[in-house]
Amino acid sequence: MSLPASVYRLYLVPSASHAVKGENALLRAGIPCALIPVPRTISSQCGVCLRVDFDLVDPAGEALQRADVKISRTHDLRDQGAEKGDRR
Amino acid sequence: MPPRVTYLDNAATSWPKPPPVAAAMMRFLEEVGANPGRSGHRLSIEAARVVYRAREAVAGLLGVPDPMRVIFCANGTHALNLALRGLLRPGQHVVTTSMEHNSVMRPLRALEAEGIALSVVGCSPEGILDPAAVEQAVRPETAMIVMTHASNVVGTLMPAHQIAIIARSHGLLLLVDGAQSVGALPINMEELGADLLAFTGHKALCGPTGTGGLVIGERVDIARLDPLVRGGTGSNSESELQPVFLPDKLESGTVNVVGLSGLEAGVRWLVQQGLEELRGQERALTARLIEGLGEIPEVAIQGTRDASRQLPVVSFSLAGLDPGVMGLRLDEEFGVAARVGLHCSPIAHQTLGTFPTGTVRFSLGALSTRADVDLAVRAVRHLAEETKIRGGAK
Repeated sequence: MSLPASVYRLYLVPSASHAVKGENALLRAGIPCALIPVPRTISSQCGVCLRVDFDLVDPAGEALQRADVKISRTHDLRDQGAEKGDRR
Repeated sequence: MPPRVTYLDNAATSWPKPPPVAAAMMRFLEEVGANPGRSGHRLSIEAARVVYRAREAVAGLLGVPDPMRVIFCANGTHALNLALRGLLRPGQHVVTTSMEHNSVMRPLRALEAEGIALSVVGCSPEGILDPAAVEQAVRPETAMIVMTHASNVVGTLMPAHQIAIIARSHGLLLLVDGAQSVGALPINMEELGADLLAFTGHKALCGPTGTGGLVIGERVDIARLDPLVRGGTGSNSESELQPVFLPDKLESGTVNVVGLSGLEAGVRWLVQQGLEELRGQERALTARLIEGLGEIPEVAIQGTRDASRQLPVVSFSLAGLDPGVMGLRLDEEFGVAARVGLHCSPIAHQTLGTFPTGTVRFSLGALSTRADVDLAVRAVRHLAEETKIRGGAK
């Protein structure tokens, strides 16, 4: 998994409730994260998504899965732009 | 100067609230204030955290593994309507009991007019339900059993777990009205066996009015549960169709975040105090109240008269004195706030033999004291003696 220019992974979730659930799961696992507005270039949702440092995507993914957090989509974000996404 | 209020109307709504409840609500209003889940700024995100913490607190209290299955509503009645209207279809049959509140009976009677058959299983004059009678009422087309967990009129604890076993053995859903019991009793939804549990936030959970909800068990098919209200959820905004996932499917419109901040504080306060401990205190006070009222010859207490078999709700009448007049005199002369009449439960009063006059109801809460109970008993004794001297004149 080599994405040197990417700095964050975004986890898009169905709703704000799921975002907070995800935030709790990550923080309990000791993984820093932020809730940010979903970039308009990625989705027309008016909600928020979880942002995690790309270096931490493996433990983050595990923590979210363990907590049964619904992830509708992930997206890797480079600086200001949205460069690469993958649908689940 | 009016007498200090002795508040014995906790079955209507608990008061006073534990101090952290108002503090949490003030904090939200002064420091957060935003709409949860609609915007991406820090205040909106913090509001979403407040709502989620309330969801987690309720789920934790009731042993529900997934907080998303706690659906917030305006109150317990709203939650009951959501479950009944959302799941029942014409041609199906429902079983309920003769101790229900109108929050169950009115939606059921309306559904009956729309083609849903209804059987009302009678309870004893003490308000006790025989599970065998419930099972006898089950038909091939029965879809659901709906019952209160504890009577709002006399506090009688109903055999919900036994009914849950019956419901499961027949493949039926069990909807429990926990308006009086949630927060008053330690409840684990899975152990109770309820598929749907409606609760109110402003009674034993010590939260503010305008809060309540429906807890949805794993056996309920969410695809078959229709929302009462559809609209904005802050999610799937690109679509004109209602989201299909919880809690958004069933929570349209901005939720009462201020209220939920208070509800969370109420639940956490209860947990901190210990539900078993509080239940023990309330049971002791209820026994004292029943004993004190029972020593007044003119008083007729309804229900089990056994504090271990009921919540701290004691309904009674006084020979020769109309309950309405008694309520007024308790309030004006002694500062005792009680509820009189039919308590929105005409069918329960028919069962108890107190319809249509109703009763006077004293209901205790987590912050009730022995002094409250003793003052109330003294007040009733005074009114009884005075009524006797006047020869029963009203």
